[in-house]
Amino acid sequence: MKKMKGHWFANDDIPMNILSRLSTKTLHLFKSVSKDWLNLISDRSFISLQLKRSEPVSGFYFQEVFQWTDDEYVDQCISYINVGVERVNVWCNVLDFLPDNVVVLSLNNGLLCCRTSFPNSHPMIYVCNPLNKQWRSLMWPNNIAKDCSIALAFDPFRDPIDVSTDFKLVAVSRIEEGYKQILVEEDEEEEEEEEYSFFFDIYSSKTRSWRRSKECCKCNHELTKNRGVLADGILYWLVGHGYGILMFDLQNELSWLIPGPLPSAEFTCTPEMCIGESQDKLCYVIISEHGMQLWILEDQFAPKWDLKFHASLDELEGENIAVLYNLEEKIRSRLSRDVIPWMDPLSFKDGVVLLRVSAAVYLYEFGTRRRMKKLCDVSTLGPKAMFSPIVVPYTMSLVPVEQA
Amino acid sequence: MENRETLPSPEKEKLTTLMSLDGHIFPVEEAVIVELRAIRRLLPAAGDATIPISQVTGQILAKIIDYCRKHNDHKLNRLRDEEISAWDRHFVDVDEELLFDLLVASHFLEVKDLFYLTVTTVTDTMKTKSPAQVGNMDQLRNLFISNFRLD
Repeated sequence: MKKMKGHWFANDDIPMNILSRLSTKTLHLFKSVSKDWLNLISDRSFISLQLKRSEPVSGFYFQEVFQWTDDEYVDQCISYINVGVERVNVWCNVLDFLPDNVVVLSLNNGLLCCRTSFPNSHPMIYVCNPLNKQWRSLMWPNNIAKDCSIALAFDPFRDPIDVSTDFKLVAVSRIEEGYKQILVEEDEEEEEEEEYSFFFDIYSSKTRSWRRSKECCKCNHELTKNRGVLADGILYWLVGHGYGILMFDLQNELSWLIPGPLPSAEFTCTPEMCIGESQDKLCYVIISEHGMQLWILEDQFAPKWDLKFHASLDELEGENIAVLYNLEEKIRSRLSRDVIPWMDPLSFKDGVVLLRVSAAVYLYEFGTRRRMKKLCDVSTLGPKAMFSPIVVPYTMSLVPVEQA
Repeated sequence: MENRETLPSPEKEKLTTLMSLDGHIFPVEEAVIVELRAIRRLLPAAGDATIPISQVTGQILAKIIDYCRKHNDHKLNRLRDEEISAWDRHFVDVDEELLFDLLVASHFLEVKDLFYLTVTTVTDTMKTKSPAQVGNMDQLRNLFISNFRLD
């Protein structure tokens, strides 16, 4: 292959031109056409050429994680909900090519990051490509708590994969930094409130090492779902019951908190939200008494949120009468976080949101078709799938992952 | 009686002569040459001489010239969008061998739109095939082989 390299990869090469226009799914299938095809499709320069920013969402990885005690977790099987096809399938045991049972952490541009489930004497982190089943492992770093949130930052458009597949991992640790005295007005007593900050540890695949960033972010809230959404070189996490966003700019190593588009004061009943990425921007989906809204973060510094889509509860019910019967009543009845929401946005990417409505999972496409598509019953995904599952959207890529 | 003499044109339209691999002569107007980007670049140096297109046969060259003329008509608004789309669909509705000949020739002559049209026609066919069927597409296999041999 090396001998031919100079000729194969001229920009106007016909076979490359033809093949690079095929979908990732088709190309993966066509690896079995012949040895020449396998070599071409597996070649880094070709893969780099073929990578599409507009790669459609193929499906969602879904995992329920149930915590028995502080030390022991029982991790259920990982399901993959295939959405790119007419007949929806739910696959189990999709990450069985990895040596251990794992918990899904993060996914970008076809690469998935996960960790070994507890208990394990040799905790590891895996970065893999589920399409070609290649993976790479690294040891869980000593100075980071085992239940820490780790986000993958892999962007082949910023960091081309022609020579190697480079990525970063960011571990977010919530550390208590002391106490703050506060006055409670009625009693005029002093109370102590713990103060927390988020600290960041960064792993670089180039240096193969971790280091703690000098940057930290004061925040008394905890991370909630959708851990680590990557958009335009910045990682985002939902915090504070979904009303705020924690951001970490990888290039400049800056972190700050921004409020979500709507403060909690706007609601009389408890809404449910999720975040995701579309066209390199952070998107925020919220379902509340005001309806379903899609907000886009246009400016992280101001911050400026644009309302891109809005449907009232009545409109939603009208479009999906069989599923969303009596929607307003159901949404309004959720008055505290202890109550599981009847309608829960789980994950978003490129204009589609995966929703749980009662005991089934649906796909909703903003803008194009307004009718929700039922994907499966929640029971197919496991016995505990109603409780804060881990859900990440998956787009395919042919990117190779070498063993370290 | 009507004057049957043709009106003199202000300037005589410049025609360039192309000769295919098998010796067929094609006088083509400026509008067509503009589309054949590889040829266009040769023009200043070629002068009035006949330009030999050593890689393309007369049959294929004729079709490509036809394509360029039709698309020029479309550009000049003599054809509607639906008409040119329908014409394009008919143009590529040919057997595999001819389709690939058009593909390779349009790549060589750098007729961008035609190249794109033939490539998408080929990829559309491929999408519906299994790996085994794709392996049996002789024309496609020849492309891989010929690329390899040019080394």
